[in-house]
Amino acid sequence: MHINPRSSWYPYRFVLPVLAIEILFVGVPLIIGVYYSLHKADYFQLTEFVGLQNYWTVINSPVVRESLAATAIFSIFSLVITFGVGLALALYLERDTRLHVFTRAVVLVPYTIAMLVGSLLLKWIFTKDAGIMYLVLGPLGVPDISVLSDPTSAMAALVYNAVWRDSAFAMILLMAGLKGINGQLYAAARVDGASAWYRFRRITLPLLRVPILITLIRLLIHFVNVLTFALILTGGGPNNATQTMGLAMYRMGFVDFRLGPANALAFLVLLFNLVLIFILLRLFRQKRVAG
Amino acid sequence: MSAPWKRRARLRQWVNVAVVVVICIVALFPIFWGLSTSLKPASDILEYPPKLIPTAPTLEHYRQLFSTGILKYIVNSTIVSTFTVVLCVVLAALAGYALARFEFRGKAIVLFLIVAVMSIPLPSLMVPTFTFLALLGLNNTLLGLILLYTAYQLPLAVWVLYGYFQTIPTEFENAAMIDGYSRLQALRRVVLPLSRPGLIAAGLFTLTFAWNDFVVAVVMNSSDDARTLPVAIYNYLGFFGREWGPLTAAAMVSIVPVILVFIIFQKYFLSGMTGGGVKG
Amino acid sequence: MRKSLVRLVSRTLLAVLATALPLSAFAQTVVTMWTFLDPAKTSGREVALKAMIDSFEKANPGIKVKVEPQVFSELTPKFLAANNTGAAPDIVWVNTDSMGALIKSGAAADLNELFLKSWSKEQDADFFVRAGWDASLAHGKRYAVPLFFATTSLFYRKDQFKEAGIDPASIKTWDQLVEAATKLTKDNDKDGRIDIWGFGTPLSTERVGGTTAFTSMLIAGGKVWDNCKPNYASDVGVRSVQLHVDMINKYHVMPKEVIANNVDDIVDQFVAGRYAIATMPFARYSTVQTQAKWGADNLGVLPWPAWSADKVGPQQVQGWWAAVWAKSKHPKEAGQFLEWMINPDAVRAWAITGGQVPTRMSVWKEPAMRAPKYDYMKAVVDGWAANGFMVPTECNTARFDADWNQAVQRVIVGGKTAKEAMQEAEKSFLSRQ
Repeated sequence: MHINPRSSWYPYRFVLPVLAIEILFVGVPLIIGVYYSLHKADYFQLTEFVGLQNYWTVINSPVVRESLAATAIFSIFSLVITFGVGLALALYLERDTRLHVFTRAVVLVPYTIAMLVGSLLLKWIFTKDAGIMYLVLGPLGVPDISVLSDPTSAMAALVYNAVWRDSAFAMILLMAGLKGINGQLYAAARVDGASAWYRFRRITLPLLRVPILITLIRLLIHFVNVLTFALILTGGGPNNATQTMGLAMYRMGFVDFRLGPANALAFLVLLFNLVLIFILLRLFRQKRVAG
Repeated sequence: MSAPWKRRARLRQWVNVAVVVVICIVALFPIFWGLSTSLKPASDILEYPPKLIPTAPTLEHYRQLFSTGILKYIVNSTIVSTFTVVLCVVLAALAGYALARFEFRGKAIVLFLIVAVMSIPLPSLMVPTFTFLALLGLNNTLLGLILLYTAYQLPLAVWVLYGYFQTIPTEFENAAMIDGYSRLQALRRVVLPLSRPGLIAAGLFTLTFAWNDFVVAVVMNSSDDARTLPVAIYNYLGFFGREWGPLTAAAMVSIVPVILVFIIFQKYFLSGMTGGGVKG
Repeated sequence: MRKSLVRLVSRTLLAVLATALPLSAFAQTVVTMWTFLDPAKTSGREVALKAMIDSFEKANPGIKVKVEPQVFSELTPKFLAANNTGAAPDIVWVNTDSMGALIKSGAAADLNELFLKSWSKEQDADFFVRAGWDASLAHGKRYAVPLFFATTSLFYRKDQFKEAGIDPASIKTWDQLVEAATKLTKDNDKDGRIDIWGFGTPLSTERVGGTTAFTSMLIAGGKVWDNCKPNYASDVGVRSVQLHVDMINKYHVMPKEVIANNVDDIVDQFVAGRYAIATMPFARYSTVQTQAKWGADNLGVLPWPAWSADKVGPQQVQGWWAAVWAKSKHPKEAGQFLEWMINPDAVRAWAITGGQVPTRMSVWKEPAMRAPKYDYMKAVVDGWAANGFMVPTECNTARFDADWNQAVQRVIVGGKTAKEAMQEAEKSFLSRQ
């Protein structure tokens, strides 16, 4: 992949528009946000400079610590299950038969509906006193439980919401990767007598390394940062069991109007995300060395 | 001896259908419930015990949507989404290509920046971005949204295309360049057609975000002329109550275009290298 | 050199364009207003607003009012953000929870200067809900005027009461309420699942809106807040938490699921016939009537019970106020429209067309308001006049009621005692000041 360009500036021309837009529309606001986090900024008014005090407040806050636990549980479960379901769907629906194409569109619908509406509808379905879940699952012998009033089942419902919606994302990304694999490789392997599992492990997985990495990282960041699911489906409850960091941050800034700590928390979440990504990248690099 | 083989094949067919049915039910039940609700008259929506199928279906909520001007918001959302997807995919293709093909100083930094931008929680950027957009005079404009959405989705798009371009052997574009094409032309005529699944994926993710975003749109734009569809939907969670009828009707309306786009572009979402050997 | 020249030229061009456009409209002053109502829509309140705007523009030909409807929950954050960038509207609507933020941010103009100083004492006293009228008062300045008030009420099912043989007038204390609720909780088809619960109130920490059950209980014991220092872990506070917990765990008149329900959910369930008594915003009265299948005539409003029979249950004052932006370019005209929106004609329109309880006593006393269809408002009017209570606007009261709901959740799900939970709620409140 080493192609010497005509001039050493040549590659930068390709990348410059992207960099310009990112610096302008993300970089500048980020710096402004960090600036806010170093001040007392209640009611969106910058007042006194307080240095790292907001960061200290946030780190010491029991609410934030609780939200860290909730975020960890939510993210890990959602990541594993969403990825698993997405990969299964990608493998299952890869061939371009009419049935498969139809099913891909079906799986995509939860992803294309606005998160707000999807969570609202799911909440309605999960509400015991509305009786919809019981109407459908009762005849199958499922007991009439109140999913949202118990911390464990509420978290399960939250994960379900995430998986229901974002499996399509994983499926599309992984399927695009699958479609980039040359069919000849499989044909040759089959001629050599390789089993389906062998073909999967030795051809598919290695060639899917990059899409898998992108999927995992993107999903992880998404689950750590997302606020809509928790806001709408569970409201962060019961007992803060599902108040993720994204939700805590939103409430701190937009409801309590404490912009200083909210931005401090946001910056910490950003750092946290970067650490997670670093870990994931490390894991993948090791695999390559071993494989 | 052919009978058991035929039976197994038919059994596999039935299993396939059964699996698809289960997938459909799990994926679509909430949507179905939303659709059903949108077709019920207001007084039936909350009845208990609930009914899955409306007994007196009505289009009154859809009529209400269109008589209160939802068309304008659909148009706005369409404009914003289309421009965002085009801008984002074009820029991402350029950047992704450079990252896949060239070694240059700062490449690691660019890759890091991309990942870092994806990691920033969006709500935390809203107030500073609002201030910044006001400085640029882009508050309350569709252009402002287009630029912001592009900025938020470029990292993922770049990364997806970067990953995808890496899987395409360089022989094709090298052959084209030897034949006299410039690199950009080679990119356009040779590499891109081979990258359709990646392009579709990147485009689809960008489209879904731009079409459905509420958080950014509600903060940046305040006037009715610049309002997008998701904000209009959210408005049905009003101060005086939650109107399930128009809310679900609006949601149903908003799903249709994206699914249609995906179905239309499905034929490009095929294996890039099926059926042919490697050329040359 | 060339770059700075280009910049200079483009900036000049932009400046010329920016000034040219308003210059062309100098004949008319445009006053922008942010509200959650949309004059183009058809609900009563919106029709009333449109009529108000039309009549104002007719009476003031040089002024035009431009309404930009916003999502109600984003009104205040957006206004505060816009206050910094210089792009805020001339008039903004704020609700109870945001009044404190509005005052503390300094983004609102002093209405005394704009028009209130020329009002007579009678005009001032006509606004009989004093707590609401004075809500925007701080340091001698008045920052907003009330457009309409809201409160949380106890809605009940007259038919269910009749069937259980309960006389609504007999419910004066919380104990009596619980007793009635026990009789009203029924499993009609004997399938082990309760069909109708005696009592319902939203205990989620999101979109709380309707939980003044607590305020009612706390106020009975004295000051809830003392100079922005919360006094929740008092005897009454602890008793209030315990009452909610007991209604779920001990008396079984309320389903545990209410801890996941917000105000919209409770309203939905009440409309669906799942509650015999429920707390909800008073403003939902007509919506419930139209949507309920159990008959509009069966909807009633109970006055709030108290802890002891000799006291009157207090009634919270909530609502929507309108303020003028402190940095508005047209403060005088904005003030004029504000005054227009609260003059007796307007208040009458809010009441009769818009279905709101009138803010002026003079309008309430008019014969038109004696029609039977306004009878349901009487309980609320009397309640406000007798014992109206509003949260302190000099403190940051964001999510104060979510803290109380959180306390109940802590006890039911988190295994804490009511006192511990309320102490934690106090800490939450303090952390926002």
